[in-house]
Amino acid sequence: MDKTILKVQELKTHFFTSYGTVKAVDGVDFHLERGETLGLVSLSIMRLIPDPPGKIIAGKILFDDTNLLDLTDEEMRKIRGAKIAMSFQDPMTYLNPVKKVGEQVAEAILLHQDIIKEDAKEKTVNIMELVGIPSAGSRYNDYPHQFSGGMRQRIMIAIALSCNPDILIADEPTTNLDVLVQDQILELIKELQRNLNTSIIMITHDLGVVAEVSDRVAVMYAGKVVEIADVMDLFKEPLHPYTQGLLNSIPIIGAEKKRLSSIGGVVPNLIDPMPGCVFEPRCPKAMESCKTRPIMKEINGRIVACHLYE
Amino acid sequence: MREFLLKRTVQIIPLILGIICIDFLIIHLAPGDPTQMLGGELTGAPPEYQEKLRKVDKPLWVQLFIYIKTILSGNLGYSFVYRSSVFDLIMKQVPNTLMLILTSMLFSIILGIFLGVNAARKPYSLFDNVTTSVSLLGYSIPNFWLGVVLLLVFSLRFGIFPVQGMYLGTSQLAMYTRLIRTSMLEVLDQDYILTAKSKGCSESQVLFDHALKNALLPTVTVIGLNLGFVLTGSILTETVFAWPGIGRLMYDAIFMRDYPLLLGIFTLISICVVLATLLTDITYGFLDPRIRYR
Amino acid sequence: MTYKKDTQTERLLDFWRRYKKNRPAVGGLFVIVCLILVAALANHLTSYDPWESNFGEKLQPPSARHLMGTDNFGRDVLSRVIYGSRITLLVGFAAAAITISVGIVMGALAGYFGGIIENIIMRITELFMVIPTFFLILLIVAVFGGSIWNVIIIIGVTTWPGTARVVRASFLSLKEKEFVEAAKLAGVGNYRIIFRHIIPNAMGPVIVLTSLRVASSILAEAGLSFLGLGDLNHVTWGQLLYKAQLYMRISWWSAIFPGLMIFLAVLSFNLVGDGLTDALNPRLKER
Repeated sequence: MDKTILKVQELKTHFFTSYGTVKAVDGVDFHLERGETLGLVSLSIMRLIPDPPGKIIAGKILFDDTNLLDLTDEEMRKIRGAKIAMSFQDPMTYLNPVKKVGEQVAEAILLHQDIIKEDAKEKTVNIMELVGIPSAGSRYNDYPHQFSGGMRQRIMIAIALSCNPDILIADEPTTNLDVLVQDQILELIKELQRNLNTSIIMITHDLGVVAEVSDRVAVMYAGKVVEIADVMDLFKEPLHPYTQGLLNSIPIIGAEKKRLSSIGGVVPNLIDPMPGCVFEPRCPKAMESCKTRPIMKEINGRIVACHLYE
Repeated sequence: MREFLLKRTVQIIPLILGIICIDFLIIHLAPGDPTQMLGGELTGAPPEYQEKLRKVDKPLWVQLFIYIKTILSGNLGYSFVYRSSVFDLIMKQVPNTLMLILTSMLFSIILGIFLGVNAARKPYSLFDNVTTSVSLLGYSIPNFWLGVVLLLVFSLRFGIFPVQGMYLGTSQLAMYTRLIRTSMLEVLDQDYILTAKSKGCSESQVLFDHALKNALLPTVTVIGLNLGFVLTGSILTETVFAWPGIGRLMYDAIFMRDYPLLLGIFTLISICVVLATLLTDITYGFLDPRIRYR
Repeated sequence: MTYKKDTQTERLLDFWRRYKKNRPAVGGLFVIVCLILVAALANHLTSYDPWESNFGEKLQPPSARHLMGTDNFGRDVLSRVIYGSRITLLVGFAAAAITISVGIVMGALAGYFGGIIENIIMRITELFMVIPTFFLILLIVAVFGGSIWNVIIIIGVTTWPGTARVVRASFLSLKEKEFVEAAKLAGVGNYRIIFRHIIPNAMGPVIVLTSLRVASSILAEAGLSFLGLGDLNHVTWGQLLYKAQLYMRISWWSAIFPGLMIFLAVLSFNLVGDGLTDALNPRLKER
């Protein structure tokens, strides 16, 4: 069995709007190995981009050697929820307010597995207990608004893991939660991964979260991957100037009080990207050669896209 | 939930009183003798109805109070044209109108859901554009004109009442189709629909299992509010199709200037509509789990 | 990126650009303008006297000489329809004007002062919104008589609550804005604030309502006339329909054409209302 379970190649997802084409994802490559957690890019993989205005216009998404972009809608539906599942950012708006919570978790099971309702319910209660929802049996019949934020996030995770998928895409699972609950959720995710051997793609802007759960990290900027590395390597020795800037801007408690450093410049315009390196306008180490697009280079098992390393 | 019910029930009391006050105002502001409105001695009404008139000399506030009491006890006056109590007259016609209204609502709601959901599926598609345009037409068309057209085109007698129900339901249908379509589009934009899709739900599952339940909630409210309009429409429907119901009764009352009957119908129907809105609110409270389980 | 100069004309042009996107709405506007022109120039457009009977030409179907045929008195239907547009539109606009004016004032008072005033006004609007308005209009007209001005006033007076609610809603949010506070600090009196400052900003939804109100006023008048409660001395499209009832089976044209005009007018005002709503609330729709 090949170690790599998901391989994304040259993926381009563009949004066609009346203001111009927003190149949200513009040629992305990365891979995910079994049982590992990769800290990052999302909706494209499940082919859930709202169309119009978005469209995947190029690239490949290889799941176990099958290009997901070649599949029919029906085939794709069989994979969603069962093999690749997703948990979303804001559980209040991502849970249907008029359906019982238990039913929402059980739904994925009933869709993909050939079992009767009672068995599905039993499985659901198990998963709900697994994610740490107390009195899962009776809370099966409750509605989303009757739970706290942390509990709802657990429900989202329960929904995603209900069919024991190969890949879990977790989109900002800890935003909107207070620190203590954040911690609990992250612990939960790590534990689940250990027990179920799920491969996880964790999308987050919080470097702390990345540090805590990821095995490898892919850093994205302006729709492109700029650096991929093992988590320890990345934090100890960031190669790409953007990554360096990110790490520098985290204030450290207890250290000398200095001015908070930030990355100068403004967020890039994704409609008319510059011809050269996307980070060039804000890069403190920009050179002449940065007027052309850098290519991804492999250095000591890490990948970086920067002219500094050519 | 309980406080919700209580609050709503209490709210309708001033409304009912308000309706009765409007009646009172009309009676006393009308040109001519108020006794005409109330069906007094001159009209040959039986003694119990003449009670009201003996108090005419008392101050207005007292009269209002007495009037309110009378109405609430079910005494809506006496029609000198029909020689019968207004209340009885109305009650006789209620079943017919009820039948008409129910058929029209059933027709418009079921068809409205079907059309609205399918239009929302592929917004701006051919189906959607056609449906939306036709709804707009159906909504703007003057009911009586449509009736005239229908009568002319099909100059036959309609024995089967569904046609009348469908006629009454036409503008309702237009409204519900538009409403459900808009509601569905809003719901389909919501995040939890994405969650459903990410589980691998098929299109019809997403539409009916997830979206429709949410989209129907505001629709329920509108259905209740519409009752007034439906009743209004029934006047024309019953006139055009010669259907013996409350609307027809009202039309005849207008024709014959039977004021007590007119007042009585107005009062009763208004109170019914108020009660209907209460019922709608209660139903909504049951259907929306956010209200039912606080 | 260049910034557009935010002058009055720029904003109007912008508004028109957005309005134009809704083609049915533009069509509706066109029809309304035509109707108004027809009503204004009625004298010059009709070849026949709408009141003069000509029994020799009774009940003739549409022909080259009488494009809409003749009625039971031999009168040219087209001429009657053209003349009918005057009173019909008058009723529509006048009743709407009353509704909107009263509605704005009531809504402003309720929204601005709050407290008991708001409470009373809101209870009244609730009452009117629940009871079947047309029934009420019928009742009052039956009791007070259906002359044209009665009809206009009655329609106007029974329908202001809807407008009032909308205006109040706008006021609730607008009165908290800085420009109101600035005016107060400058010592501007309450009523001046209401009328000179806040109301102009609240006009958006009100304009939409006006168009819809004209539509429903026309419908209401037509309904009243159809049921025999209208003013028999004046020619309105509703009256034409009413008088044509008896002869419907033998002269469909005397009923169909007036009704068609009502339908056209109501549809146009509804479409314009729709178009105004879209133009006033720009939404980003990627197509």
